[in-house]
Amino acid sequence: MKNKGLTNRFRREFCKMKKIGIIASLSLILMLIMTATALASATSGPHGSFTTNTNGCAACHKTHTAQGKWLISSMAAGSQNDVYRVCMYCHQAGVGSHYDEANGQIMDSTTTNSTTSPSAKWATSAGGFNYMPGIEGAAALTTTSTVTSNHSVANSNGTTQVVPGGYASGGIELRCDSCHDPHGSTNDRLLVPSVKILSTTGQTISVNTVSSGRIGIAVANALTNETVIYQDDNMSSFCGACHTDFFNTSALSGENTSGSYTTGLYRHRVNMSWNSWTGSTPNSSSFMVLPLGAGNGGTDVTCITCHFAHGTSVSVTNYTSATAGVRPATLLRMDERGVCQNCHLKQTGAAPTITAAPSTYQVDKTHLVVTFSGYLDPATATNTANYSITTLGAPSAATLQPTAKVGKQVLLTIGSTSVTSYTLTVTGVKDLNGTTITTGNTFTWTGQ
Amino acid sequence: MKKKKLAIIILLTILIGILVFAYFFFLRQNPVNLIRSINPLQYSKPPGFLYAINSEPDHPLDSPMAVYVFNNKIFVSDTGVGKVLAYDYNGKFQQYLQPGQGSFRAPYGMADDGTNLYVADISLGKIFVFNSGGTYKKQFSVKGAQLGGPGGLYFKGGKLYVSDLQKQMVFAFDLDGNLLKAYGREGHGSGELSFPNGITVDDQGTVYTADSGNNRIAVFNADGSSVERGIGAGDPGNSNMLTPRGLQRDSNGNLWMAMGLANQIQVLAPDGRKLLEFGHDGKNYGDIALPNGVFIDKNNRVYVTEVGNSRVSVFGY
Repeated sequence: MKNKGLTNRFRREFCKMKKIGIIASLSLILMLIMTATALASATSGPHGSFTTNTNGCAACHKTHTAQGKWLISSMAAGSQNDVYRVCMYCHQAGVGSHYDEANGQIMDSTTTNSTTSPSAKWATSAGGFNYMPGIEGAAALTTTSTVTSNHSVANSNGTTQVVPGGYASGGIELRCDSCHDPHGSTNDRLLVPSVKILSTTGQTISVNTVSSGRIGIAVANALTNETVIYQDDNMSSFCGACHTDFFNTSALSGENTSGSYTTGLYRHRVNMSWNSWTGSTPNSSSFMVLPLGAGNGGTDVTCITCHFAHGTSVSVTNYTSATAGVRPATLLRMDERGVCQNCHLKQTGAAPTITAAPSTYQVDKTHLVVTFSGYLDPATATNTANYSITTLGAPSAATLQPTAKVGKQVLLTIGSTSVTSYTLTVTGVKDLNGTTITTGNTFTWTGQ
Repeated sequence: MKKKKLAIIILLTILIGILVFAYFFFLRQNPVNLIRSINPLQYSKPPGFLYAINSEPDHPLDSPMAVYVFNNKIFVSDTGVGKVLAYDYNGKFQQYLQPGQGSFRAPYGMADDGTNLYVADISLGKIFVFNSGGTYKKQFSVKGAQLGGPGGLYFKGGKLYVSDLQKQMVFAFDLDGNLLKAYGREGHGSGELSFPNGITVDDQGTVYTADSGNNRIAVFNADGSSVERGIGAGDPGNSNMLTPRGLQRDSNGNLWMAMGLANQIQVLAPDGRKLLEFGHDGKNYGDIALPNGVFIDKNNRVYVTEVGNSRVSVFGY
């Protein structure tokens, strides 16, 4: 038996919304029906498959009733950044793409089709927007770190954001498609050839990201433990399209003022060899771990040398300025001012030590995470001969975490433990200042 | 004599009234809904909007991916906040599910075996088991296989079916975790999968999975062989299937799908005929923005998780 009163009330409520929505849904249906009528060859998604299946257009665009600029069909207009939500519909948690940008990880694609091989998650080169791996690799061992600073693409919502080095009151409506072209581009990261920002007088202008028209990025080991190959120094001009005043390639930029948006300030040079300055002895090239551009034989500093592009999980706490307060993590690649130290090596500082529990801990019967007080030299940190555990001997593997080059943690694969006391002793491991561990080099714990 | 009979009748009526009221009160069910649910689901018109579970400051929602009703509770898994939220049947928040000592990272698909609730976590690569009250029991350990990124879960005929978003396959396990069968492989052709999300199984053991990257429902027979092209790929009149994610069979055996990038819910017969289609984007109540999960409870209420609006909307007839 139906309760007519309630049913009628719902019918009236629905009619109101139907009137508003009928035009939109009819337009959508009509447009979709008019596009490809057969999904004969399935698409792998909107990126790069437009020529085979134009239904991909409808994934993001509406021809006549779009709610977002550039005909982005968009949704939840007015509450959140529409482009971000659309991109994250696939690029979060691996539900639609191997690239999980929300969590800064790549879902390994080399173990597809296998019921038995273990699956892994690897850190993306750009960092994550919300989280990033603390430990990467086999899923059972991975840990997650919270992002402390990111490019805030999630909340632009039609308003402009302040760009450091750009227009003081707000220079760009920052969205995923500010930097990436979902239709494809000439490089492996889909970076755009130009961006729209506000000029020094507040007018919208289009700025080429590189004068040569191409940013050279290639990716090796795609969709697994990737390596990014920078084929030129053009990442600096890419970032410099928005961060205009920070893009200074002139010699002596630290001694002569420059700037269009803010004049009379001194800037750190980019696109020069990392150890080319005179005045003090730079770090040894053995301990230079930050990513470099291809210029000058692969030794050039670019923006990407010191900064992640999406987000970072480093901690910057020790510096407080009178005017700016506690400085933010600013997408840096190392804690505090570690990026300065990696090139300039002003002091060698104290020798590294093992950080006690709970930072150093046993993960499962055959894995131990060892945290150190400073960033480690990858060569000595991954040398299994530098580690010894009572009754178990040396580990069979040692990987630097969170990435193969920059990290303070080492994941050791050890012999299976039992519930008894073990002591780890570390020798020969150096930090990035070149100092070898001496005291504070042991860890005692009860096995699992 | 007549007065005594009258008194007994009145007392009995009051007693029956109290018992009926108590039954519905303690089960927290609306008897009107129960009566209305005797009606079959309708495909001639869409269900009407009833209410929404919104993000609240104390227990926010960000990207609610799946919704599941079990033991008169509504469970919502959210990969953005990395939590599973439990609400009562009216949508009032009760608790977070706590998977043992650790935390969820990307909780997604849920299923029940009649007694326990199973929750898959894509990032952790694990499936957790809770009792009907939401208390953690154990991990679902699999043997003879390793999970990659378990997404969708479905329980049928003593088997737990898992769609694996990293391996691009569907697994069937028995309740002890032994691998019984594996379906599909990565790719775009017949019998191949690209990010299989929602999953459902019919009485014959036919496996349907929302093959979201291939914009179709992939179909596998119980013996593991695939049904050519699945549903939606090239079906006349259904060319607008786009990123199907959530998938559920209703009591009539028809398939409800959440089509995220099209902001729609579609209902198909198993032979591919489109029966119903509703929804459009926006943030008003009744709009559906980037839907991912869809679930129909035993009162024929339709639950839809909206990633675009960070809420769960509930529809009904």
